[in-house]
Amino acid sequence: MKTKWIVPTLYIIFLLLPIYWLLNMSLKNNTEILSVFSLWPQDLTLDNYRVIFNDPSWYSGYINSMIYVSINVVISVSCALPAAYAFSRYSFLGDKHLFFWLLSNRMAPPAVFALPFFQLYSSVGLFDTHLAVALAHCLFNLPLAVWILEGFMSGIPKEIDETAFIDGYSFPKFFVKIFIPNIASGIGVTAFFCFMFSWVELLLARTLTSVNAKPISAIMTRTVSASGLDWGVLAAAGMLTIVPGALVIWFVRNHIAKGFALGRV
Amino acid sequence: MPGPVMPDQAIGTSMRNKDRISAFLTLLPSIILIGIFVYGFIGNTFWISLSDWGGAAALAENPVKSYVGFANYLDLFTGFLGGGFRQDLVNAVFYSVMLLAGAIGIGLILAMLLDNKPRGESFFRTVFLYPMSLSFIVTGTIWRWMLAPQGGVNILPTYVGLPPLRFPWLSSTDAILLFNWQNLLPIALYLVSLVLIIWGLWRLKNNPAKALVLLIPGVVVGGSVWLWGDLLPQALFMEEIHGFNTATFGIIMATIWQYSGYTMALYLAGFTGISQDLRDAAMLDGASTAKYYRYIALPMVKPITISAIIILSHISLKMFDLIFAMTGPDNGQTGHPALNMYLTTFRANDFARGAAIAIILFIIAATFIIPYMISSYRQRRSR
Amino acid sequence: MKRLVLRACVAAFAAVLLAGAPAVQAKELSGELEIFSWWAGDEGPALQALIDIYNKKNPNVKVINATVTGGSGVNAKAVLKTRMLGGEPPDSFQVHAGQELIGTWVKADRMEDLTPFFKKQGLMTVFPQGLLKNIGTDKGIWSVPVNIHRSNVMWYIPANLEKWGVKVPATWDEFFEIAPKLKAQGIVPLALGENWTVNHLWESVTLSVLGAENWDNLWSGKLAFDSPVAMNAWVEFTKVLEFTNADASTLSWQQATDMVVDGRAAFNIMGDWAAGYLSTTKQLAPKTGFGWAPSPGTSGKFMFLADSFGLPKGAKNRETALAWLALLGSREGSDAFNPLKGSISARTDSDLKKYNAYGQSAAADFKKDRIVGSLAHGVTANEGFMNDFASIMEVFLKTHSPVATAKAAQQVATKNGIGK
Repeated sequence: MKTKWIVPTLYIIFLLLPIYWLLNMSLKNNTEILSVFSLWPQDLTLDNYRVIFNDPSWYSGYINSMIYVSINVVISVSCALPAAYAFSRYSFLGDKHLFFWLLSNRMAPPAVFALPFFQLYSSVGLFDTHLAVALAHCLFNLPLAVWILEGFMSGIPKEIDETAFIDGYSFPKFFVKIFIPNIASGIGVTAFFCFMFSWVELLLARTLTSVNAKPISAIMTRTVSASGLDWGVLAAAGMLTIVPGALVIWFVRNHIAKGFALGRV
Repeated sequence: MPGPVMPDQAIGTSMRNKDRISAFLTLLPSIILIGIFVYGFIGNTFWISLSDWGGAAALAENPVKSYVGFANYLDLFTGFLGGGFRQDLVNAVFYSVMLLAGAIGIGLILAMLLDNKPRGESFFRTVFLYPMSLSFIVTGTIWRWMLAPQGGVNILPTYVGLPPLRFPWLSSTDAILLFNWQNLLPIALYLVSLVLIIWGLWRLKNNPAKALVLLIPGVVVGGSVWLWGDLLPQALFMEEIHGFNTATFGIIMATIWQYSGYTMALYLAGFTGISQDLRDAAMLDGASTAKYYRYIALPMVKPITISAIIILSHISLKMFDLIFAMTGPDNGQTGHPALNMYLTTFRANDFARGAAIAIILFIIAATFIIPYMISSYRQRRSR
Repeated sequence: MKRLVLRACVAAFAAVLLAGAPAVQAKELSGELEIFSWWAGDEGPALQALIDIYNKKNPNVKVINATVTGGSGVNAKAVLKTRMLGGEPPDSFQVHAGQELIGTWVKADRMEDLTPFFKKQGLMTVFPQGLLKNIGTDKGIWSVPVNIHRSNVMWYIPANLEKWGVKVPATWDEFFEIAPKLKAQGIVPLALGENWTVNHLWESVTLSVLGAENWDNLWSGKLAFDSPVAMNAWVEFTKVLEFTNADASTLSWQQATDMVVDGRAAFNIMGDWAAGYLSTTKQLAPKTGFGWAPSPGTSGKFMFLADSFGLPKGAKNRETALAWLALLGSREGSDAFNPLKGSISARTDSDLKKYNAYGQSAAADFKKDRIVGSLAHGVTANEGFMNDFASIMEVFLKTHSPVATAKAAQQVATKNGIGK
């Protein structure tokens, strides 16, 4: 039975080695990164992190990303809740067609949308705002959120609704007080996947911003500059982008199993 | 995907009219918005792809665009300068196939190993999902360093006393599985016949009648191409060799690294969802573990396989950040249509051609997704 | 005594500057200025120095520094294009001087002619004629160059060459004589990096084969890419590539330069930003620690590239943008910017004391050499050609046939209207 554990353990090493590598690089200075190969920093330094926390052009990227990702998650989840409820509770002509049609929209390549979005945003003055990126990402996250939430909602027996109405709950009160707590883990999982998409998406986020809402991933794409590349700072920035994702994964780790079990993620 | 339990689907007929109206009203805004954005934008892009928007005055305040039909598409597939795009397409195919095989294979094997061990499951799932939270730019940066010729992966063996590897992960100029683009039609037909024959042989045991329906056309197509293949029109006016570039191995590895944890979590959930009774019953009947997976577990998680294929192939079709970060633009060895589209549009100012590439990508994505949609749809309806 | 003279000169210059400036300085500027560039990281301080001077002169103007980083401007150019298409031009934006600007923005009629501005600021005489020819067309001058870099420079470590017993080759033939010897010792004769550095090497080799006159003719459409003369360049390039490292495409240009520093390679052809890298990051002293020479066969020719700023039509803050351009063209501005950026000033009257040993030698060459434009960095060809040049290289690397490659190059040139 012990052999059963060897492969997963090796796999974990395979998964964590690159992340360790990144951590290792982020704690070295550039000379060491470029000249010698070492498994751990010979000359440990936190300078790279210090650069990021002291330079507004770096840390503002994190703040921008956080802001538009949060806006996006809030919009996606709150718009998807009623839609998912409608799909899971009512049946009407063509509801299933509609449901799959909604999901299929998510599959379009983002590249198709970059230019039209830009033209639209400039004409209404939304360009380079957090809201612009958040709304653009909704195109992909809203269908996903409906899809996941519908799965969770359908798992809640309809009797709960009916009992609540008989008990004299109004619809809004029922929805907030009874229904939402019941699908809390679903909301968590939905928020997680919306977060993931928005956090790592680059093409739209980069095209639709220039200064005020520029995301961290766009700042990180600095590659060749005239006098060299700051690999250490880049690695430190990379480490810091893992942190929010890791935190979110940690918070939803128990709910996520349910999402996978429903086959909706 | 295994549809969720839906106890209330049967009540549908007794729905009140008021419900229908309120449901429709709830959904209307999102439907209209998505309709406008998605279809309006795709339509806009498609229209641009049929125009000649590009060249020197492309960025004028009111650029002159005239309708040229499918000239851009024709040029991409048969033009002299479309060679790069064609290699990108070939890359994308190999890339998708390798990613699917790698990520699904690794995910499946790990899920089997971890199956039935619910204690560590939550921990493993959490750890395995971490790479997903990385942006492709970060993944690309890490792997570019890991795969550098003088460092990283290549010198890992020296830590256990072996000679260092010499494989040029990202810089190899070798290509295998070469074919001539001129022979595209015969090759495509051979592939069709191969798939039909294999599928037919697969079915032979259970359903001989259906197997013949597959086998006969397969053999006929393959045979006739072999006999009269020369009569087929050539896809290009000159010889153009494409193949699987070994430099893409590194990129494929990085993508597998990022997504195999996800497929593992998918399969693990699927396996855990199979009731323990079923498994016990199978074991009691004398089934070996291998047989249990082959005949019971795998067929039951087939929907998961399909959904993983869809999601991964979709990812492999639209990614460009990773390639951009790992091998940079203009690297013909590792090019990808999505990257080509970005450069054609935003660097060469050839908007029409870029739009045409985007639409081709969109069509390829759709061919993957529509069958999935149909099968999911049928599954739900049968409940 | 010497110092006194110098001081007098500086004072005189300051007076000239002040006399020229009042037109701009007289009315107090206010409002905003949005400048768009891909300078961040190491180039950030140089840009900041300029912004600081600007702020001091125009305290009421709020400068918005819009940088979009990455890949020698690939990302920035994409964002800029979407902004221009959406009718939101920044007040002034960074662009490689030459056809990269002309072929894209001037052809599209989106830029303002700066000739009156050049005349008013007295820039027509302080910039070399070769430079003015490359940044303008018959219809006008389109941008103010901030800095000058040289593309055709070969770098080496003098001590290493001495150890291996080789001399710096002045021509490619000399290089082909010593290269096999180096190879036999296990040393890479010429270090090469990722794909754009291949283009970079190509332009140096081609310049040496064609000479300055034919190089210019190539881009003005007078010399065809598939003419026997131009085809020779590809033959030569094939020979040169034989002496480069196999893992080139995975190396950044810094890593390629490192090969020279570490003694794994003998030479490296790279733009003169390598001087900054060698002296600052690698802590090598110019001349003694590291050496440079014009790339083989190009002595007396200065292949330049320049970053420049232009004035888009419809800029929201035209006045503040003009003040910005005036600062860039001024001696004060360019001498504040360039020592930090590691480049030289486009002006022939810059204060050389502010520059390091390499900068001084480059500035001296800039004054006397024949000036030609770089392809790899956007001076001689428009963006369409630059993009398709990748597929030319692909044809070349796949077929290794100079004939096929030259034919492909001519097709690309025709398609992108080179010389029109």
